[in-house]
Amino acid sequence: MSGLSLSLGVGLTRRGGGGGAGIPSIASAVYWGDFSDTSKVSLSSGKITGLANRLGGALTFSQGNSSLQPTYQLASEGNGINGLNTCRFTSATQKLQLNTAVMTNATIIIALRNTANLVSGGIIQSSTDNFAGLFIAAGAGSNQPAGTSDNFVDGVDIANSRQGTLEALTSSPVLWMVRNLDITTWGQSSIGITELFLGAFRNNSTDFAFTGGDMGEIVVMNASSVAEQNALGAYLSEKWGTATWTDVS
Amino acid sequence: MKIMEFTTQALAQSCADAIDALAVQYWTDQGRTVQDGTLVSWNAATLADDASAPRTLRWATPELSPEGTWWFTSLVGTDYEPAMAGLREAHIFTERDMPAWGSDP
Repeated sequence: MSGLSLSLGVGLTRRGGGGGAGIPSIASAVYWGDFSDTSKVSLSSGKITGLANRLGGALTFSQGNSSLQPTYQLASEGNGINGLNTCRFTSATQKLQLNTAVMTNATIIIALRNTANLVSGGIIQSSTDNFAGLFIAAGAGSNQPAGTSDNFVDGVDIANSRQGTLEALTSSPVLWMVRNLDITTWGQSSIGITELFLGAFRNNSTDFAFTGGDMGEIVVMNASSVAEQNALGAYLSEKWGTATWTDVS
Repeated sequence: MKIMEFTTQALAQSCADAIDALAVQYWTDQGRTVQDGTLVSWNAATLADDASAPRTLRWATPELSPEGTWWFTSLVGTDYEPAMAGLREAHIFTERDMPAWGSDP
């Protein structure tokens, strides 16, 4: 895709994106959403109603409530990340929702940028008031469920704390990754989690905070290997212009 | 961000239903494709309607607040804001900035 400038319709141009590396084959991926791939994005008056899985199938991040739909950011209008179209969450309740299979060893990697420089928010969250990637200045507690899960920014292991996550999410784009996430226990529910919310988090059963920024690409994997995580990190870091991916172990 | 806040779920749902009815007419007037009361999305690449893509189903689903009230996002600041005057006359609600409910879960 290096140097590609391809007109895709009125006001929609896919261009930029670093590097010439091909898309890696990630066998463990169950959902792969790319906001820069306009063919996978469905819109309603500039608001995003859905992001289809580039791997195929019915699994789709979607939002049927008009008041909750995030906006589509066009690189052709000087927005987006690294010359690529993105999704922007700008309202306290905007979110996309994925009805997903329950996974016991999920890894989620997202290219994102904290454009609003918020001191409170969440990246991804379950349907039962739990979360991952929560960030709050000097906030107490972890930023994701207790257990073996761990999180990284650009491949660098960061503190599993809300303050640590806040410091890692800057106005520059990053690759945020959480792994070893047991979604069956995430929401402390006997039925497990069947929905993931992107861009907002819930507390006391109500939406109230958000990422406040741009998201470019999200990959959800089940029982991924370290080799897959590193291949994906290297590919996405080059594509989205984030810091060079540091291989995880 | 402004919210509309109601004392009961029934009041909130009644207002949300009224907004959805207005939205269908608005979308139709705009020349958009409405099927079964839902707004068909278009594909960002082709700019053509895509009946298989996720659709806009409603304005909002009323949510219970920690204060025991029911709320959803206001139309203020959106394309639908002109409808607010009529809603204020026909429905009972208050308008305020969204509180920081449970800001440190």
